[in-house]
Amino acid sequence: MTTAGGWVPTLGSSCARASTAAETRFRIDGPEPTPRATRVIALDTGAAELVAAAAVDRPWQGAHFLAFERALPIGDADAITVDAVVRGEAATDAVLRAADGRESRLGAELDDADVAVMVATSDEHAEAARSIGAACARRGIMTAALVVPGPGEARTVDRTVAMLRPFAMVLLVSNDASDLPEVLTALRA
Amino acid sequence: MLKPEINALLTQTGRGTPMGELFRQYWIPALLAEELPEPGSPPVRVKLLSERMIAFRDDDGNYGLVDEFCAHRGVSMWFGKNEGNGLRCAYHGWKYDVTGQCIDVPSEPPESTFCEKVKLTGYPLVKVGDLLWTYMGEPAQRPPLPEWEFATVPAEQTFSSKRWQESNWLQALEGGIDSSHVSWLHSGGLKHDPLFKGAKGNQYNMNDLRPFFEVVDADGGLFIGARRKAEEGHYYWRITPWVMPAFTMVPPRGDHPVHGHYWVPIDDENCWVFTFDYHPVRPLSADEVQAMKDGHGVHNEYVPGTFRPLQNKDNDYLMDREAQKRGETFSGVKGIAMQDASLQESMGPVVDRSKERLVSTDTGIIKARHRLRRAAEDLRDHGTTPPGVDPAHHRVRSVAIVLPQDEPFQEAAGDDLTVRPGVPQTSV
Repeated sequence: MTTAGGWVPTLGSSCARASTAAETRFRIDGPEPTPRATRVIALDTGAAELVAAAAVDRPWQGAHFLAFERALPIGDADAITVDAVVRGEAATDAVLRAADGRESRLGAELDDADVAVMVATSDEHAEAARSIGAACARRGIMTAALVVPGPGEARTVDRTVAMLRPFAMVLLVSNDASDLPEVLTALRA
Repeated sequence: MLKPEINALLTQTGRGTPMGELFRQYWIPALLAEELPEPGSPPVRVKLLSERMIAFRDDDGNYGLVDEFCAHRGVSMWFGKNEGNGLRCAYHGWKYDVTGQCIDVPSEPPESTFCEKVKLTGYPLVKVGDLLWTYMGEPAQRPPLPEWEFATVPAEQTFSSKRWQESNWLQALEGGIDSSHVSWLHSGGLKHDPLFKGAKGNQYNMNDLRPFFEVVDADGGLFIGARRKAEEGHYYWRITPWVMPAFTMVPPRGDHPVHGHYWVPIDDENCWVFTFDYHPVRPLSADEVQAMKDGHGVHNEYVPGTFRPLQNKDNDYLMDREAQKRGETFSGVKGIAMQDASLQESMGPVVDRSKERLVSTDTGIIKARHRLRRAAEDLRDHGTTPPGVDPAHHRVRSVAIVLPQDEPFQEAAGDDLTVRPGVPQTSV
């Protein structure tokens, strides 16, 4: 074998031929990738059911499964815009509730999070999607959103989707609620 | 991240495996029609879904795809003589028709009916467009013929090629779904390739290297929308349809022909990448066809006389570090197709997905894997016909479009995502 540059590799493993199954066994067997600190946040009542079901669907590696309860504006309400939140000039907070009833603050949950996954089934709290998204953007947290409208109800989530769009690096609009645990597993939640 | 057992389920396509049975529900591309150009053409060896077969065309022009090996002593029928109404084994003269039915055993007396009891496994082989398609499942379940637009427009509007890729089919397919690599790996091609350059959409691609994604369920699979910043208050969307199990279309660029792929397992460590370019409403120009034959766009050059890419793992894909340094190519490998193939082959024949670190923008891949798995399990456990079998699912188009920021692409571009005869592709 001679490459475009005219050099001849000495070993099979020093060229593209090393992509064989036999050479695969010489790959460095590094440690398992670490889990990501994941916050799964339901934005509405239907989503809270999906999130609660996902929480017990399989063993997780420290993911927090939460539901949005109510917004908590901080400071001058008039100064709170999405852009201001993203720039760090204003802040929003919210009360979240876990399946066991424990309450926590959005800000505290996000402070040590790697990934935030928002889940919606309706437009019940569309504004919350925006404020949570902005808070994630401010912190540089990887975001994803799963929207699972009921059968034939795609239009009932239009506002939520529009609110989420600027902030969720990926929006998955799905007919299948089992996508939630699949996405969480793939992201090492 | 996938558990090893799920990875095995998705990547193994031999007969009897869940994914193998799934693939056997569909018409899949088997060969280019030009490989059997005329009645009586020499037979061609074909391996698909880990089954070795022979394709041939009898003197009446009928196509056949049958077990490669003679039922008598197991020799390859590739050495056989294509004569009249069948293919005759070169060893003892047993002859088979295009269905695999034995029609002559010369050593038997003329009145013998022995040959009626001998039949090679055979599959239908049908020309649709410039491809030959086969269905390897149960005859009773055979679906209607495929209706992909690239295969149903007039011949002068379409061009197909195929190449051997030395990796599992799923690695190749996932490259077709993953739109986020385009701004990096293929950045050089957007500027220079004759089948891409000049489109306004290319600027949006190059100006925003961090696309956001929306993934939406479709009847046959998914629509994967990648959006980038456009003019004030607008997004530039590139929408890729994936139709199960293995069809993807690349969003168009300007008035260039539209292209896409069908990723077909050869065995668990190799696949065929069938690549098409077509224009919905006009003939391809001579220059466009020549560019495709020369390996531009999503096509490639070949080792002469083969379907192996000229750039391959035996020559380090003709890596050109100077071109990489100059910024002509991002990876140093020339051409869109081989830029993808070189990296996908470098992962190994079947990548270990238990080690990967996916990010949120990989959700299209995550969702596609989930749908494939669900479909394979539903077929295995309940006999459910999978999405993508119905020809109505084939009538999709890719789209490139600029939309106001608050408009969902699946609604705003709804009609554009469907085949509309006589209407050009929606492109920027």
